[in-house]
Amino acid sequence: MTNESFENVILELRRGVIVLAVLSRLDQEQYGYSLIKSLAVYGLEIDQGTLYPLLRRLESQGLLQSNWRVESDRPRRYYVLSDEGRTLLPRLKEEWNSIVAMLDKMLS
Amino acid sequence: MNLIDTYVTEVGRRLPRKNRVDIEAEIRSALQNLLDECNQETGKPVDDEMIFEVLNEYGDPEKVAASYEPERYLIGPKLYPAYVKVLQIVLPISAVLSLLGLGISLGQIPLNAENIFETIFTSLAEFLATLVSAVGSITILFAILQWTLPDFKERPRRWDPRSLLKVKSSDSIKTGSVVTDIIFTALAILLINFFPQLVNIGYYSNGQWWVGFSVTNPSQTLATTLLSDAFFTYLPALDILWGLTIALSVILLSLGRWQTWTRWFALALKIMVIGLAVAMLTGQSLIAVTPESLLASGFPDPLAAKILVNFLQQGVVVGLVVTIIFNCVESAKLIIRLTGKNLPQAVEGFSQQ
Repeated sequence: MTNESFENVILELRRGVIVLAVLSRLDQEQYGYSLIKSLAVYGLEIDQGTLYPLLRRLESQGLLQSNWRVESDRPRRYYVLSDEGRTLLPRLKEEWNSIVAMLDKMLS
Repeated sequence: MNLIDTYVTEVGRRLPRKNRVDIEAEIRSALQNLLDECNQETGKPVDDEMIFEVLNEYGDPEKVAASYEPERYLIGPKLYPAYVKVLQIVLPISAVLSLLGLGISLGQIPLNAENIFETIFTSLAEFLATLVSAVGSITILFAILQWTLPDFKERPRRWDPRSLLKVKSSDSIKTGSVVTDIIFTALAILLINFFPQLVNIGYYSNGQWWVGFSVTNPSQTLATTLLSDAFFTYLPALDILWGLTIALSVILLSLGRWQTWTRWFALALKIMVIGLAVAMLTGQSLIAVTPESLLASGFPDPLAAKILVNFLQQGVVVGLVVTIIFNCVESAKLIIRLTGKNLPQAVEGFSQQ
């Protein structure tokens, strides 16, 4: 496998988990930049160009809600899980756990 | 306008109007956060160099704008194969018709070098215009389909594997249609070769007209022979074609299915039909009857005679053009089928088991 193919596969894998990672961090409201920082704490680096469109998509799907607020003279858009998002998150976690367990078995 | 404003405007002008202001505000806010961070990390004041660095990190405005939009296409992946197929059929037909037009034009002018080149260049220009127009029309048509039928194409289709049982193999032949072909071709051979006088034009004694096979009827008056001598010069070629058509039909009936070589045979036949039809179209009139011959045979109305003869001539032209187009379409289908990607023989054998 060439380096490029390897990178592509890794990219695909990460793309799949980013949604769950983002949703898991938004039980409390955060603006984009703070969310990037909080994901980075866990080792998940995500660039702004990926995050902001994703946040908007999740909002349009009804999983997030947002509002603009001005803090320290900076207008910021804060995102938080919607009711639907809160209902869905535990189910997504369960699904994730079963995927991890299945792949652990497969790969061990 | 500072660099941040310019950057945000560059992104914004590529965004749909509906969300533009909101997205622009969010990008501006994100950039400001990045600048704050840089400022804190380095302890330096924000300057153009720092802004360039932050903008570089944020990315090309075109890509940033694109990331907010779902992939857009003029013709989507579901319609694209049909689009290509239609082009594959229409473009060769356009080419053949243009060649036909060129042949007719060359037949109508006195042949000298200047005329020939002028006609060829004019035809070439017309051909290119036809090509562009055909591709454009088809593209517009498919683009309209793409945008007017979004629900239709997105609706998940219920698919039952049992439906495969109803799919007829594309190699199977339709016995009824093959037998009908044989009967009608044999009738045509008999009629034109042995009873050409039956193909006639005449009128009823009450003034009404008929064209076609004369039958014994006291109320009919035989007017004149319909088919010209020029038509009968094509008879040997027609006989060969009809004979080969019957031969192919008989072979198909005995084999029970299409095979590669019978498809090549059919393709050769169709190309011969196209060639003969083009020759007939560009050659002398196939109709013997003229307004004068009609009047001489006792037809009462000169204007009606003219109209009738004109109608007959145009009918022949339309018939030949339809024959050419039909055979071009059929040939194109056969060519696509014959030149399509072939499976290796071993795999092909396996897939047919």
